[in-house]
Amino acid sequence: MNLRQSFRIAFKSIGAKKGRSFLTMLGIIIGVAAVIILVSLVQGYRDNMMAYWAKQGQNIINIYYSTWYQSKNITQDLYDYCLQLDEYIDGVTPSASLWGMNVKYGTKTLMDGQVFLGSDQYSICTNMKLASGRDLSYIDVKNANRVCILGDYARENLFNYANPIGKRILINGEPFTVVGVYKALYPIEEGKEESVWMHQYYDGQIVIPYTAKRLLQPSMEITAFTVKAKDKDSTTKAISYLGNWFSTRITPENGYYDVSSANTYIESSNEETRMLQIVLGGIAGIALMVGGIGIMNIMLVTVSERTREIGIRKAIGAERRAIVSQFLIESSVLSFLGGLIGIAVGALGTVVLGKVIFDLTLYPSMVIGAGAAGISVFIGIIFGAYPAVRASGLQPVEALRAE
Amino acid sequence: MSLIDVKNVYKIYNEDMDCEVRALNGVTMTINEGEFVAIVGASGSGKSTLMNVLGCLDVPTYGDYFLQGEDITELTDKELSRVRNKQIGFIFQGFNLISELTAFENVELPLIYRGNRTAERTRLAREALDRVGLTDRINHYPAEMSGGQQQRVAIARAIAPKPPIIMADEPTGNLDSKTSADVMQLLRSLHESGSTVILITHDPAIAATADRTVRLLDGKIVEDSANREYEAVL
Repeated sequence: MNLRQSFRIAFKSIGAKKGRSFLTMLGIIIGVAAVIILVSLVQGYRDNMMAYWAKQGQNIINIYYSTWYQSKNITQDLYDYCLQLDEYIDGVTPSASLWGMNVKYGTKTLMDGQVFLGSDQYSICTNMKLASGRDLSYIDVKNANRVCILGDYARENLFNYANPIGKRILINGEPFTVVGVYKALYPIEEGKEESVWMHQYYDGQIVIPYTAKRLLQPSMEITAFTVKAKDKDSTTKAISYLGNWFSTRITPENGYYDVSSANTYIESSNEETRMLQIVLGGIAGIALMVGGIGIMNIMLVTVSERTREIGIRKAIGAERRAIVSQFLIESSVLSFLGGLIGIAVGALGTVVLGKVIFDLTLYPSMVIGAGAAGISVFIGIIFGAYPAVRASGLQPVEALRAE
Repeated sequence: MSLIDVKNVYKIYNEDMDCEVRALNGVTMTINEGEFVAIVGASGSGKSTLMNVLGCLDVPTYGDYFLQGEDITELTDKELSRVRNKQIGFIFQGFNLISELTAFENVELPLIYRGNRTAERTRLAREALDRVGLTDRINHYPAEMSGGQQQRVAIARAIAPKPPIIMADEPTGNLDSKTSADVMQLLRSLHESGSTVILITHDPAIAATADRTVRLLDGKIVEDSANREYEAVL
């Protein structure tokens, strides 16, 4: 009796007992697939959110203020104060835009051009990267130079494939020279509708020195700022320093201010999805457990039937080793096959459901899948081989007596 | 040297307890090669237990059992499997076929355990199925066959490895008289072609087919005689 014959007998037995073989595998398939799908969906959703925040830039402090009375413009003061905080802060910029500007280059017009007012640290604060040209400089801001940087969508619409650097565009009739072009923050992704408007919104911007607003909308007050802090701890520190700074200038009697960071929001939403992952993972774990119990159930229900079969096999001369290896091979093959099908179903389910529910391209979590498959294969093998190990030690006549 | 030599064999269940049962209570007998022996007795007389011990399906509590001079009670589980595989073809009252396997696969099974190669297995299994007259049923499953046909598959399985000893435990117990006669005819012909056949029955007519009758009562042999009918034929 060699291994090949054990395999032959095991495969014959699997094929002969199709119903039970299928049910055994079904438990594993459902358990493994459920774990993969649930965990991967949440993981994918979370990763996607993190990627969104990473794109937006982390450790961003948003500042809003307003005063009941017309007051002195604080932009320059704030800028100077932030320079003092350079231990914690990478940059500061006004966060203000002029809507409905008429932007023209030659015969081309950018509808609804959104003109942002920036400091020389605008790119750092907004996580925008230059594709070509240069950034706004301190001098540009100081002298209110007529220069601008184009977002990818704005460049596309005004210049198509021509090089825009050094060209003059008209914003509400005022000429500005293009000195730089940004890389797309949200490139259009094939088949993703939302990426089209994300691209139009985030990459449709045109940035000019904030001091140049007097050419376009002199009455407008800048009341919002974005500060980029170095890291998480710096964010906390900078918020408290900036808060103090504002408190000396603005009191509840004469106005209102808010200094806050998206970090707290990111953390709480991160925490939420982590909880969701734990809960859904738990549910999936229960599914796996139910699947495992299903396997045990089927295996144990058939113990007496199998014990009889073992008795017959022993009576016609099977050695104990031959019987144990037959059953081991049988349950291993079934369990592994079930595990593999489960992983395949789980992977497919993750991709399909990710597309349908979140409109995201999700990748199944293979570590989780392998873990889940491992557990169910383990259960399958143990409980599949259990009757063999128990009954093959009996005298044939005792095994045959099992009803 | 006799083929089977049983000395003072006891099979005791629940020994030294109030409910102690002595299924075999000191059995001594010998069976020579080529004999056709019927073991008879009322139910509970211990005949099935004796058969199981003889067929190496069970081990005696006390006593010696020599099969072809080899002390069976000394053998390991593995060696017993080999003896069952090579020396003994066992036929059960309830057929004991594996229901998920076809007639051919059932007959092939002991040959697989014996380690025969595919071609040899196919030849021996076909030969055995031909012998029992089931040439046209080899790919049928047990459930698709009558009781008589199933028992013939079981006989084919027993004889396929060509063991020197055939043991049958009430082989006709689940069959009608017509098919019983067929099965007995088969056993008789196996005996005539040289096999040692040991048979359990409670039916005197069946027992009369054998050359020798061993009668058990309460785990003891109470009669061991050559059959008169057989003597008359002689």
